[in-house]
Amino acid sequence: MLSSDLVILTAIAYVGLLFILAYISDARAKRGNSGFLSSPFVYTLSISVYCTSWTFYGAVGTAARDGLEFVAIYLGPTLVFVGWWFILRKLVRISHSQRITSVADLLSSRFGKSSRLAVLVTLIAVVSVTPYIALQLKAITSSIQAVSTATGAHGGHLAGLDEVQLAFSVATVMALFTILFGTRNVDAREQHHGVVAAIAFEAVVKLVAFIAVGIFVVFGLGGGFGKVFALAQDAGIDIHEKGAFGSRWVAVLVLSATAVICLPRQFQIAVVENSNEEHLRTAGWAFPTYLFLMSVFTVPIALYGLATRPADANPDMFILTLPMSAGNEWLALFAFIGGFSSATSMIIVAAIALSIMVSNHVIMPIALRRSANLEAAGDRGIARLLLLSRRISIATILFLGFVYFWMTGESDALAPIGLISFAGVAQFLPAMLAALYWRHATVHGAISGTLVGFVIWAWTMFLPSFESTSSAVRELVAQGPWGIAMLRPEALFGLDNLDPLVHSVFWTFLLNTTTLVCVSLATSQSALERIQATLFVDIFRRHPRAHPHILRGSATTDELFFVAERVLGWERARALFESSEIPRGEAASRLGVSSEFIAKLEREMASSIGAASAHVLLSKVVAGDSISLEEMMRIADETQQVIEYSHELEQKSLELRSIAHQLREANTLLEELHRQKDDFLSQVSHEVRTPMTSIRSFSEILLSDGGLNEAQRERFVSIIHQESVRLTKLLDEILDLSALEHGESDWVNCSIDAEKVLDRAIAVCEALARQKAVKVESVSRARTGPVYANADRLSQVFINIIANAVAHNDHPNPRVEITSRMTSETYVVEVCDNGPGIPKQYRKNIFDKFVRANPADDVSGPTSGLGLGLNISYNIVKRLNGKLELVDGRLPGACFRISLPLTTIEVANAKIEQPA
Amino acid sequence: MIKNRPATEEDARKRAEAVFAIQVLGVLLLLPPLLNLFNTRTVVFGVPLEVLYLFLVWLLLIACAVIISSKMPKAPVNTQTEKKAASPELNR
Repeated sequence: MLSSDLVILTAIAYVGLLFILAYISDARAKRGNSGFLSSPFVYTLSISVYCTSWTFYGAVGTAARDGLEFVAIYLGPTLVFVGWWFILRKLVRISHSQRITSVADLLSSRFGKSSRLAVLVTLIAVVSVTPYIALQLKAITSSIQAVSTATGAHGGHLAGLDEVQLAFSVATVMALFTILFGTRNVDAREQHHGVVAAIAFEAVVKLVAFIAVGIFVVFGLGGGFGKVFALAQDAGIDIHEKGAFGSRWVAVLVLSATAVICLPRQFQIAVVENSNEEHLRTAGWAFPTYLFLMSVFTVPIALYGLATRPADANPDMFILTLPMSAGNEWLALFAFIGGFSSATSMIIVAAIALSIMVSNHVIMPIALRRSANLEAAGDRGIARLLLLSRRISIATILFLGFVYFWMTGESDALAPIGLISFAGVAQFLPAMLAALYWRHATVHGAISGTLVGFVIWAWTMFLPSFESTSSAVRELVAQGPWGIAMLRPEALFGLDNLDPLVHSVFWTFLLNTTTLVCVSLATSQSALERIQATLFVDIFRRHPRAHPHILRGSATTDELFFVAERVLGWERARALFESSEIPRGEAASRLGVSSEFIAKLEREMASSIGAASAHVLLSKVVAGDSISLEEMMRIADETQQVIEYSHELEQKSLELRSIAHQLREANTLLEELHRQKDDFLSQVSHEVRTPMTSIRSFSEILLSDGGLNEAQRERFVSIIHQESVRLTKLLDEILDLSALEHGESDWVNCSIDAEKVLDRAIAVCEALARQKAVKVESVSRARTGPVYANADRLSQVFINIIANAVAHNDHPNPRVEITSRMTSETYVVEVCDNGPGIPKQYRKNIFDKFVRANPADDVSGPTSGLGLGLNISYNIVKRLNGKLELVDGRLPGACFRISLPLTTIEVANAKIEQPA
Repeated sequence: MIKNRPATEEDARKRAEAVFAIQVLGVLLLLPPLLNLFNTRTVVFGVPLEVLYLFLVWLLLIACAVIISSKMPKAPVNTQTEKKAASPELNR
C-alpha cells in the first residue's frame, strides 16, 4: 500500500510545484503581464480559500454525524455572494478608495483612524484564527497518517516522524512559502499575484479531488445517488434529518455568512486582493457554484462510508479511507493532496492577513512611538521594518498555531474550532455593519461593543472548548466561577436550554450590538470620525470632488519626501512626487505643499502601513494638523473680508458713476456758460461800440471842422453827452450785473414796507408815462407790504418793470395796471400792460442777459434797453429770496409778478441762520 | 426587466430593489418555518426531500445570481485607477 515516504514526498513535491507556480506568476505580474491571473475566475477560485480542510474532511464527518448542518456552512456565503450588490460591493469600493489593508484597518479607518480599535480587532483575529491554523496542521498530520497507515503499511525512514514533528515541518514550510511570496513588498495594494495564483491552483486541485472521490464513491462504488441512499437505509441508517431544522441551523447559517466577510483571510482575498470591482459580478454566481459542486457529493459519501465502514471508523477521513479500502490508492493520494491543498491555502492566506494586521497595527505604532527621530531608521527604514515585522509575525503566528496544536494534540479540542473561530471573528460584524451603514456610530461604541462581544465569546465559547483538556475548565463550565450558577459559560444568566453554539451566538450578538448602539448614542464623534463616516456610508453617493480629511499645514517638500522615502522606498516616493510635479531639492525646500498632495501621500502610505499609522506618521511631519477652530475662523474671516472688499468696490464704482454723471452735467453747464460769456462779450462790445462810434465821429467833426455854427456845435455836443450817458449807464449796468452774479452784496437788508417803495417807483415812472401818454393805474393795493429787503434795490426792480411796461407799450390807448396783495406768506406785486406782450419764443429766456423781446426796437433810441434790465431785476429778486415771473395777466400784454416773503417769515429764517 | 436599454435612474432603483427582494426570499426559503415544510421524511427519486429541496434552492439562488450579475449596472470606470492630479497647487 502507500508508504509514508511516498505520501510525504508527494506532499513535498506538491509544495515545490506551488513554489514554482507562485514564482512564475510573480515574475509574469512583475513584467506587467498578469493576463489570466487578473481574470475574475482566478479571483473567484482564490475566494474558495473559504473551503479549508475543516470543510474538505470535516463536511463529510459533519454530514455523517449531524446531517445537513454542513450545508448551512456553505449556504451562508452563498447568500452573501448572491447579494454581492449590497455589502461586498460597498466593502470593495470603500477599500479601493481608502486603500484598506485588512479588516482591522477598515474598522480603524472608519472610526477616526483609531489605533486602539485596530489593536483590539487584531488581537481578536489572532486569538480566534490561531487555533484554526492549528486545526489545519492537525488535519494534515492525521490525513497523512490515515492515508499511509490505514492499511498498516509502516516503513521507510520518513515514517519515523511522529505527528508533532510532521506538524512542525508543515508549519515551517508554510512559513517559508508565505514569507517568500507574501512579503515581497509592503504595499498590500500591489497584490500578491504569486500567492493568489497558488491559491487558485489549490482551489482547482481540491475541487477536482473532491469531485473525483465523489464520482468514484457514488457512481463507481454505490451505483448512483438513489442507490447510495437505499444502501444506507438498508444498513439501518436514518437518511433523514434528525428532527426539525432549528435554532442551531439558523446560528450556523448566520455565522458562516458573517465569516465569509469577517474572517481576516476572506477579507484579504475577497476585498484587499480584489483588483477590479467588476470581478464581484462573476464571483457573485461562480463562488456559490463552486460551493455547490463542493458539497453535492458530501451526503452520499458520508452515507456510503457509514454503511460500509466499520462503526469505529473516523467519518472525517472517509474521503481518504473509502478509495483506499476499494483499492484505489492513487485516488486516495489525490484526495490527500486535495485536503492538503485546502489546509495549506488557508494557512498561507491567514498568515498573510494576520501578519499585515499585526505589523501595521501593533508593531508599527510601537516602533513609531519609540523612534521619535526617523533618521535612525535609515533609508527605506520603515519599509524594511515593516517587511521584517511581517516576516516575524508570519513565523510567530504559524509557530503559535503549532504550539496550540502541540498542546491540544491528544484531545479532540480542535474539532469544533472551526465554528468557534467563526463566532470569534463574527464579533466584527456589528461594528462593520455600523461602519458601512450607520453614520453616527462612534469609535467608543465600536470599541466597547466589539470588546464586550469578544469577552462574552471567550467566556461562553472559547473557554468551554478546553473542557476536555483541563479539569479546572470542566469544573468551571459545570459549576460557574466561584459556584455562581448564573455565570456558567454555557448557561449564561440562567439561559440553559440552548445548544452551546446558539447560546453563545445569541449572547455575543445581543450584547455586542446593544453596547455598540447604546455607547454610540451616548458619545459623540470627533471631526475626523465624522468625515470618515461620511466617506464610508455615502461611498456611492458622495460627490466626486469631496475629499477625505486632510492634513493641512506647513510641511516642506523635503520633510515629506523624507517620510515618503522611508515608508515607500526611494523609487516609489520619487515616482509619486514626480507624477504630482512636486519640486524637490535645495531650491524647493522652502516651498509649501498642497493639502491635496498630502492627502494623496497619506493614502499611498496607508496602503503600506494602515490608515492609523500613516495618519500618525504624517501628523508628526506636517506641522499643525490645523482643521482647528482658529483656522475655520480665519478662513471665514478671509471670506468675509473678500465679500466686504467687493462690496466696497461696488460702492466705489457706483460713486464713480455718479461723479462722472455730475461731471458731465457740470461740463454741459460750463459749455453753456462759456457760450453765454461769448454772447455776452459780443453783445457788450456791440453795445459799447455804437455810442463810442458816434462819440468819436462827432468829436472828430468838432475838432476838424471850424466852420460849424453854434447851434450845430451844441447839437453835436449834446449828442456826445447823450451817448456818454448811455455808455455810462451801460457800464454801470454791467458792473451791477457782475456784482450781483458774484454775490458781492454791498447792500443791507432791513424790514421795510414794500408798498411805500412801490408808490415811490410809480411816482418815478410818472414822468415817462406822461411823456408816452401811458395811463398807469393802481388797480387794487395791499395796505402794507412788510418785507425784509433793501429799499433802493427793490425800487430799482419796480422801476425797471414799470418802465419796461410803459416803454414798450405801443397800444393806441396804452395802459399799465399795477396790483399788489398779501397771501399768508408772501407779498405779491403784478405789473400788467396792454402792449404787444412777450413773443412766445422769448418767454423762456426773457430773464437772460441781452434778451430783448422786440429786436426791432430802435437800438440807438434813448429809451431802448440793453437787455440787461430784466436780468438784473431777476437776480435782485432772487437774492431777496423772492421770485420774478412772467404770468398771464388780466390784460392782453405782458404781466410780470414779483413775490417776496413776508418779514415775519424772513426774520425767523434769518434768526435760524445766524448762529451757524 | 427590459434588456439592452440604457438604465435609467428608476430602472436602476427597481433592479436594486429586485435584488434585495431575491435576497430576502432566499433567506426565508433557507430558514426554519419554510425549510421544515420539506423536512417530512419523504423520499423523492430515492433522495430525501429535504436534501433535494436544499440543493434546488441553492441552484435557484445561483440562477438568480447569474441574472443579477448580468443586469446590474456597471461601476464607474474611474474608481479603479486614480487619475493623476492635473496640476499641483503650491500653497504659497
